[in-house]
Amino acid sequence: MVNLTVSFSEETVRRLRQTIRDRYGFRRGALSGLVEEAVLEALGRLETTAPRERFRALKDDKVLAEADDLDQLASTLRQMKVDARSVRIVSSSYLPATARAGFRARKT
Amino acid sequence: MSAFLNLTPTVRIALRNPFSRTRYPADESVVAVIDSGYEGFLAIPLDVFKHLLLDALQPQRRALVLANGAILTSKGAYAVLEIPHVAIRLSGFVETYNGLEEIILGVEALSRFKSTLDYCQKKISIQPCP
Repeated sequence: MVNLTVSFSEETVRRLRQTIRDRYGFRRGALSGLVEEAVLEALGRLETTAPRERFRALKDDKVLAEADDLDQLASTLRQMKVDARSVRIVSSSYLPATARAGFRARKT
Repeated sequence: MSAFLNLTPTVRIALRNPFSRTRYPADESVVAVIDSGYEGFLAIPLDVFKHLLLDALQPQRRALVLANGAILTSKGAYAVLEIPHVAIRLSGFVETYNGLEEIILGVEALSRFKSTLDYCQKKISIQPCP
């Protein structure tokens, strides 16, 4: 095990100690165990971020340009002197063929 | 700003088509209704779609399922959504369908920032993701 010095606000430490007392009594290692559990949970959440979305301009299914956002893609197409109306703009994120319309949509 | 209209949560947004350099509205922002039942990014009325020249961008079509199971066809293209008062800028699929008269913000957009609906104090808070 590695010892680590970290700083918390007094209020956080008070709540932490109180919760540990309530849940685990005075069991040795309870504080470290709970902190490690919380850190692992946070790491799991932060490390599984969605892959970065990319935008592509396709012509006849061939990628003419690709960028991280639409502004960048538009700028690239302008530099290439490609009319955006002549290409198909798609995203690397899957676009479902069917989606729920929500409660405000109605058929006319 | 974000606010409740009666009890409906709304947020002020602006839309841009970077390919045609068009913006809606031309200045400032417009109200969008937050609908957590809508699985898409943003749905806008046809006249706004045309104003942004999104119909010139080889729109993609898909099916939207209504609460009663009926299906309507939407067409859409990628555009930039801005929430000016919190400096949020998102690229996503913006669609339209016949009869839509308001701007609807769906869960695809909501999933990309932090929103808090406080019905007790009638306040909505929007912040970028940490």
